[in-house]
Amino acid sequence: MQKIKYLLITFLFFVTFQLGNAQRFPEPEFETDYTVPETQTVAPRALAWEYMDVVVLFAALSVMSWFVIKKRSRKGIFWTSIFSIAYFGAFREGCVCSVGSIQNITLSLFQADYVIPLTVIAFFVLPLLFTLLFGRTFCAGVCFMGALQDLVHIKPVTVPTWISKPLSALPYIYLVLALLLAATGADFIVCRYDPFIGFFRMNATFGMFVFGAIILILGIFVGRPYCRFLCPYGVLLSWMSRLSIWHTTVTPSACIQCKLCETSCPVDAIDKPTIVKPEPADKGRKRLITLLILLPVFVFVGGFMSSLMYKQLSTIHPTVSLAEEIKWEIDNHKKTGSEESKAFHTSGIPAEQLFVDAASIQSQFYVGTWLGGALLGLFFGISLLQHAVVQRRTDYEPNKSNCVSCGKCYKYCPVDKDGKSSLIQL
Amino acid sequence: MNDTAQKKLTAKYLAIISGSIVLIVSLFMILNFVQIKIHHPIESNTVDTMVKKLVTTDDEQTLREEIRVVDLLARKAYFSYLWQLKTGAWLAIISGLVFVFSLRYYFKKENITPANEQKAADFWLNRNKERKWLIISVSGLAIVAFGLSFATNDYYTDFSKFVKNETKEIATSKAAIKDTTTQINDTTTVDSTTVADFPTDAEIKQNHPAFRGPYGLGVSYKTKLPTDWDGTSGKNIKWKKAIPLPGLNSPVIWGNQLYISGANEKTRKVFCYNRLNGNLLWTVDVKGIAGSPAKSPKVTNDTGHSASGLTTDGKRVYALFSNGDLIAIDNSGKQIWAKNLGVPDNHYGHSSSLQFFKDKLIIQYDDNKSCKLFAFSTQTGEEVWKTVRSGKISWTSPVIVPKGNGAEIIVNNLPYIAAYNAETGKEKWKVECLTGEVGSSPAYGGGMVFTANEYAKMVGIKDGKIVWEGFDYLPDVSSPVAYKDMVFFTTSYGDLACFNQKDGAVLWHHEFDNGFYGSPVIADGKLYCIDRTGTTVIVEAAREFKLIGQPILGEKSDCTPAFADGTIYIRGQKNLYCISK
Repeated sequence: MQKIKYLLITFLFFVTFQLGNAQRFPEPEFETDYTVPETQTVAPRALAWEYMDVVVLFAALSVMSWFVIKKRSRKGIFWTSIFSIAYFGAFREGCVCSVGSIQNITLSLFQADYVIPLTVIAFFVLPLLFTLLFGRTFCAGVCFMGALQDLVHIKPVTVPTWISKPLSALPYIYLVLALLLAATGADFIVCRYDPFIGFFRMNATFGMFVFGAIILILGIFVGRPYCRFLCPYGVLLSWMSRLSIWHTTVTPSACIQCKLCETSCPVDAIDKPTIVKPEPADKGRKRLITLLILLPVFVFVGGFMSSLMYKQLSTIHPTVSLAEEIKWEIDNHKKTGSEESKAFHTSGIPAEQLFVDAASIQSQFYVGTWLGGALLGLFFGISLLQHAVVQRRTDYEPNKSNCVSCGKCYKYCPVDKDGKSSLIQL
Repeated sequence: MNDTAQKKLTAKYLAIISGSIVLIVSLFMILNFVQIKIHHPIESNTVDTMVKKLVTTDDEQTLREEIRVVDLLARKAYFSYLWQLKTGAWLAIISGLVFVFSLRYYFKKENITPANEQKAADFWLNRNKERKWLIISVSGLAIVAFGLSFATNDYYTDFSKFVKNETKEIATSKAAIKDTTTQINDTTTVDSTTVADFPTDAEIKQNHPAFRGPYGLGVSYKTKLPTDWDGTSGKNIKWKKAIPLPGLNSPVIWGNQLYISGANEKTRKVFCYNRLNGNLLWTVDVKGIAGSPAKSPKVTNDTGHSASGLTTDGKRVYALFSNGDLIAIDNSGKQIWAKNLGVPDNHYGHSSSLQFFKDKLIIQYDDNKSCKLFAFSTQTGEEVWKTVRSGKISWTSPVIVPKGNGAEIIVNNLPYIAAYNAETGKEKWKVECLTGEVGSSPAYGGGMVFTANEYAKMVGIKDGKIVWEGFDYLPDVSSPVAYKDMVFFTTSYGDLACFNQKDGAVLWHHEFDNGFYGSPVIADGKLYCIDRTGTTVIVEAAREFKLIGQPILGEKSDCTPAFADGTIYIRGQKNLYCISK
């Protein structure tokens, strides 16, 4: 029973928005002979299917990792990603997905009465574990969202630094926001604003349809725009991938620096050999020390700036939103006439009680925005520190953090695993 | 053309065709969406309008059939929209897949060609460039967020200001759920040396001693009242006086004296006018009352600091303010007694009007902590009895139902309507029927009690039991009035409806342009209802709708009229009007 409850909660979070928009024609007001059928609720996914999902996820990750690391087969990666779109996207309709699971995990940590289903834990942990071993093989095509974008990426365009760098901050902000809203029980925004789920369920709202279409059209030219510039789970995966034990490489043996692979990466994740002009020793040291001193400042400023927005952000929580609405009604002595307002007035709960509840949620948001902002400040500081440290490379290597292991660079490399180059033969 | 080139050409045409289909289908779906957004079959009010006509039409059967046809058409439109949406989506998805695969094939590279020679950049040059953009973007985001948060800060509420001793309040509120009627005891009874002085029933009915007239029942016994006036041109306006302080209490009258009160955060006053010429006879500044708080509680503008209606027994006039100050003043303007009842914890502001029964001043004193009903001695202000009622805060006023030598006090709150013995404060019956924020007071007539509240229902109660229920034309602020075998309700949306007392059947309903906050009063066989713009809707208090007039005041009013022989007194937002032919 508990499991069904949790499943329902999870499911509801995912589909509330869509169900809310699934308009149903009101019953006729006249008495007729017609018997109105009972409202049917969508049954929770059978437990066996849930376990099946975990098995399929594990199998897909294993096969994908095998294709990426062992076989270095772009074809294998491609067809595994097609399978993922079909199974996790079309058949499972994108739920539960690993990207959204961060919210369930957060909610379970902050709300004692929410017990997270094992399936969701598996969907959260397995990709991270595989990434720690093999790099982002999950992103390569097990994630149906990544696979879909990979499928439509046809005419690659390189995104200039002045666009890619600012946008690269967005996933961190989205992650912090998603964690804050999940921890406070306000909303599961990653699911609510999933650009593709509406396509698979054939019930996208107009706004989400447009958003999804924009991502796909953009994806024709820009490799995986959602993965690179929005995906909050990608942040965690990139951290894991940095530590990965067996990460894929551009070349199966030794790089001959032919430069063929230089522009092959759809996500600009191939690091080129570095040319480091020597600079005065104290300059680098000074830069590093300054940034280290500034790190706590970034953390504080981030926390402070974010905390200024706690009231605004708290209105995403339905209770605070309702309290604002009722407060407006009181101040203006009018009724908004919204369903929420009507339901509240019918409930008999005094407005004062609602305001007290809203105040409690606002205080959670105040603490949450401080912590979230501090975290963003920390990310920013660490990122600047990374940019202050020399990384010497002599070969073309995948950037472990950003490489999604799609294998598109494989065919660009003329070297085989025995170190023989087809270029030499030519 | 070789085989590969031929295949590429086919892929190109396929991509063009499928891409065009995706584009056209998407365009149609967007147009369909926009069309549905503008004319949504579910949200169309055609059926509603036709259903409303059912009440007045002579040919009900034909209209029913017409409604069925319109209803069916709307349903068909809705389901065909769904079908179009689903079919379009499938078509777009399939075409989209064809488009993607064709395009993939068309752009498939046969040979890998080296990329354009890129000049290797210095590591630090690259890093500096990246760092620059990172700093610019993060700083930009921070500035935008900072600016937005400041710009919008005032639009959002800091709800922490509503949290004050919340634990204590909730505990008190829970404790109040249990009835704890405090019985009269020897120490709180009226001093035996005081002489009982109170008006007779006939005297009460000759005057307008409280909000909604004698006993607060909404029925005046005055006649020869005007039905036509114009506050802007001065037609039938005998006099008009600017009111020195704001207030939402309605005038009360005894003899030739008319009383109102006004207050703001700092000042509280009671005014007495000569109702014949409008001269201000006296003003009492209500201050220096023991226990009165230094600072007035926060109230909303729509309630104000003196929303509670006054009451007068001919010898004294009694007034209550938002801070809990209660005062009794004799008809010459001399303070007889005063006390503070404790600052009510009321998020709108206290607004229940005062009543009296014999020598007891009856006060409904509800707040977020508890709901109390007090009886104070009109002569001394001493507490005669106090009943702590179950339920939650309301903004309604008690009505007195005389029964033999005694009386019942009928009181609304959330979620109950209850009757109490006026002599002892003991509960006689209680019915759970209200929800939400209760602002409408009860009505009594024909042996039945009537009450209603928006978002709840209306009920007809006899002997403490619900006889009928209704769900249309529910009032939010105004109170119903019972007359002969009818009961009338006005709503904040401008509805005026007449129901049969016995079974709650709708006898007639009329929708006016503006909502009603002031309560309707029956006088001279007519129903006087002031809407929020100050227009008084006058209809015959009869089983058939007949509009008599809609005279205007020339300013807004949320008050209830008071009546004397041949004269009507209306408190506008700023002025007090005496209307007479």
